[in-house]
Amino acid sequence: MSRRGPLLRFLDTAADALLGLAAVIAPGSERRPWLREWEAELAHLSGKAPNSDGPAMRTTLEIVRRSGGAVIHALWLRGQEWRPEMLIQDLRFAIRGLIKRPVFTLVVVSTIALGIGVNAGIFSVLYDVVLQPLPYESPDELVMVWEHNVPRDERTNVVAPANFFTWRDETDLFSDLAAVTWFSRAITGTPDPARVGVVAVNANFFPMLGVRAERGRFFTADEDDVASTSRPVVLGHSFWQTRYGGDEDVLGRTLQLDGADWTIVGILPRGFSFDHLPYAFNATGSQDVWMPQGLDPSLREWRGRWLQVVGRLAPGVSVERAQTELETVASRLAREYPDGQAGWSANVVPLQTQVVGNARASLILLFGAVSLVLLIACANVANLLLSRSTSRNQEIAVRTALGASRLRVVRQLLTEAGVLAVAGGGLGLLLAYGLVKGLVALGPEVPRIAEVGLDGTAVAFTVVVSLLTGVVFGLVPALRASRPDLVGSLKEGGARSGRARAVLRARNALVVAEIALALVLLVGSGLLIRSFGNLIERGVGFETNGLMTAEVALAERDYPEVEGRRQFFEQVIDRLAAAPGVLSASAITNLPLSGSQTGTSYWLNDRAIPADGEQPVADIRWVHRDYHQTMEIPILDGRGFDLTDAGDAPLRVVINETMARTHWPNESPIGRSLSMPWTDTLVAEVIGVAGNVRHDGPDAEERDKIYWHHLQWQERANMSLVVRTDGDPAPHAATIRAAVGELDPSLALYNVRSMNDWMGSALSSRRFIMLALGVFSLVALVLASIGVYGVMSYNVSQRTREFGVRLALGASTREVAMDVVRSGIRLVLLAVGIGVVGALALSRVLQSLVFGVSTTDPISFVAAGGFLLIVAVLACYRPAHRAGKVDPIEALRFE
Amino acid sequence: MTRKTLGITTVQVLHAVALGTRYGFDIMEATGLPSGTVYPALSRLERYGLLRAKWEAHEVARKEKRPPRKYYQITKAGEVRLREATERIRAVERSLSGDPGTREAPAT
Repeated sequence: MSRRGPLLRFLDTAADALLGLAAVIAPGSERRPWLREWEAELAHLSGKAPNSDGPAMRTTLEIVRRSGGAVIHALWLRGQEWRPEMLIQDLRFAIRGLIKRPVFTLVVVSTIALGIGVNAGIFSVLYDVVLQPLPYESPDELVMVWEHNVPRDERTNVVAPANFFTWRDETDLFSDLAAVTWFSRAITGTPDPARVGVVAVNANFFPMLGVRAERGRFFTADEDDVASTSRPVVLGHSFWQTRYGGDEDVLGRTLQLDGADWTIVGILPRGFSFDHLPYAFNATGSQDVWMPQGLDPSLREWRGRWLQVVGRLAPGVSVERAQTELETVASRLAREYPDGQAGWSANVVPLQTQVVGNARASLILLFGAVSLVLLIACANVANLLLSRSTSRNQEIAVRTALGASRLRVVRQLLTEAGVLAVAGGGLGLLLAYGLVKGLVALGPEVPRIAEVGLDGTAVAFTVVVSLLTGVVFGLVPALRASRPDLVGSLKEGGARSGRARAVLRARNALVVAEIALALVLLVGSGLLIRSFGNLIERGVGFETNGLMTAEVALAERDYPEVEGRRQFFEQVIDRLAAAPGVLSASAITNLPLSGSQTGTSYWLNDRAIPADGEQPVADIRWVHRDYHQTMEIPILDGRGFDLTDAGDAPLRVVINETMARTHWPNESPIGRSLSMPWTDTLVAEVIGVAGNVRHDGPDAEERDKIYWHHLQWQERANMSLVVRTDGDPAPHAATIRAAVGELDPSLALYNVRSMNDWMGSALSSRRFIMLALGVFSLVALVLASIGVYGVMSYNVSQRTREFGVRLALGASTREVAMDVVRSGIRLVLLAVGIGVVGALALSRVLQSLVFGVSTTDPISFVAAGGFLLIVAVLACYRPAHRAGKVDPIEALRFE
Repeated sequence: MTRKTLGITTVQVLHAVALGTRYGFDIMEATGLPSGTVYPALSRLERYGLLRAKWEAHEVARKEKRPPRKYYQITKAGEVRLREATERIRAVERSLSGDPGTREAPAT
């Protein structure tokens, strides 16, 4: 069955809501058979609906319309006649009444709009990112399978081909298992060189996900073989659009990648991506061209690990069972091949979990926050309607006394609440729509953000919640009207009756709840703001201002020898360093903050060599000699690289501070040596200790790091050029282009970005959450102060006579006003107390999102509480002022 | 029990059931009346004893994977009342369809 779109889902929910409302109305004695009959009829009707979109919409609309009839039927069973004309009459009356009180109407409508808008917007994002299944066939059977390095507790390690073969061929856990690798290639043989993101996959990859080619075909099993002579590629939809303008005749054409000819055989459907892989070993970040994996079976050697493995569980196999069995397989392999497999296990992760991963905590936090805002909005609406009901007590009593039926009055009040809810809801939906658009455009680095749209269920949910609020609190005066205390209400003094005191208590309680909730939000955003400040202050370990970066990859064909590659980078950097406005230039593989990564295991030669799988692991980088100076990374001990570390000089490395401290806590590492198991075991002397660089952003942990001088040993054909400038780095993109172009015009630059731009990306999701929570707490604050204002105004109006007496007896205006403020402060203090307890209880939720500050940070708590107190006192100002301005004569004459 | 006169829409519903339309939603389609009119009418007729409601057999419902529907049948009393109502409506119809021009002109 096709998935129902957001509009249909909204209508489904609306029909459910109508039937639910009707079921509440229907008299208890008849409810069961009544509901059975309606459900059966509606089920029968929807069963007749064909599944295509047009008729489905018509049928669904019909179901909604008929569900409305259920409400009328239920009313009839209650003994109430209802005809549509009555609605129009009531509506006209309600709207007229609301227009007469524009401030009240505006405040209620905008409160509902804020509540609905923010809630539906955020819920839509949450739903699409976290709850909505991935857009693949039976997505809950899809898993990622990782190797688990037990000694290092690295649970999502890339996979060795041998393990992949074993899992695929020697277990029956998976109905499909595919290996994915992601790298980049240069398009060659055209006057328009470019770097493209390439994904290599097994032939079963696309069928496993249930994807169909938009044009042409995918790969055959024969093509997915190392011995295959054909070279087919499939193009991503957007790459096809941008590079080929969506040309229909592209199938069968040749695409030259790094000098080799590939044949275009298919186009992927629009929107297909598989960019949930945690490791992108290319830096273009795009998935432009797909090619067969063609894994060589002879790769059953255990050393290298580079595959990312995705699979579909066989029918009846659970994630737990797959996990347990793969662990058994791993321990068998560890016995059989101790030198490659000891210390390695496996880790099966549902794809959905893998994709949403870290964003989950933030989104759930946001959803919690937004629910609090909705609660506050509801409390506020309730409060406003209550205050209105009090002022209407008399009107209702008069109308009842004049013979209006009780039902007539109830209906009238409900209609009014309904009009408010609908107007607020309509505005709220517009707001939600804008919010979702804004969030998507803001493009925080949230997974699946591109799939987000306003969600029907979310909208229906919030609309129902706010309608219910309106109905429930619209009913309070109506219920009161049904137990008419006519005499009491008709007398002016009715306001001081016991019932009025109960209303006052209810309103105070609502305001206290609002303020307490707002405090929870304020504390939360205070903590996030402090965390963000801490992160900015901590930085990444070098000066990001004034740095321009760009990545260059040299094709194997044009630069077959490592010496040629070295000379190229040396020459480019010499030219860059001499360019006007450039203070210094250098290059590194795996630029900090770019997300790309290379690691190595190693051991120290002054210690016992640890067993395989238990060796420590460090990040490894190859740099040009001026790297640390250009980045302004301090050399803490020894020296940085220079021209003497080249040619026949002994192998030398610079390590970082963390690594020095870990292994040589009380001595200098300079002059010690370490070994790395690459093709040969490389033995190098430590000549310097550099300051730490937080590779993945200010909140990243610091890992061991080893720098190699690229003139001594270089494994990579691509490096990022870095240029330190004396001002704005942006114009120096052109400087880099010119320098590279002069040496080799066929080279394409990519990732041409200033370091601050990289930094912005690294912090974007934190900034996003901080801003969002900040906005929510502001909305909460505004709503809560409206609440305080409302309840204080009400209190003052109830005590007019008392104030009149006191003023007549000689109390000063100031005293009376202060009395009002004091009672306001008492209320707020109580609320702040409750809010602090609530915030402390909820602070655990924030644990993973705060940085360098305790979730019970007193500064955040005091600041939030103080701020709230000030705002609340300000909200008391006008009512207090009014209390002081009471005219004693007027007030007393009232009686 | 005092006999209330059946409204025109109620008669329409009763008539539809008499013709063999059994289910609420089918009656809506047969009469062209909205559900908010048909259902109160059905309930009213059932209370007057003019209609009798039963539940559809479980097997049929299970085959279509939905709950069993409630269906209505006309009772003897219902048939009598329907005939009376039809007569009344016919009379009204006759009185309306008479051509005003054929009436005797009042004497001048």
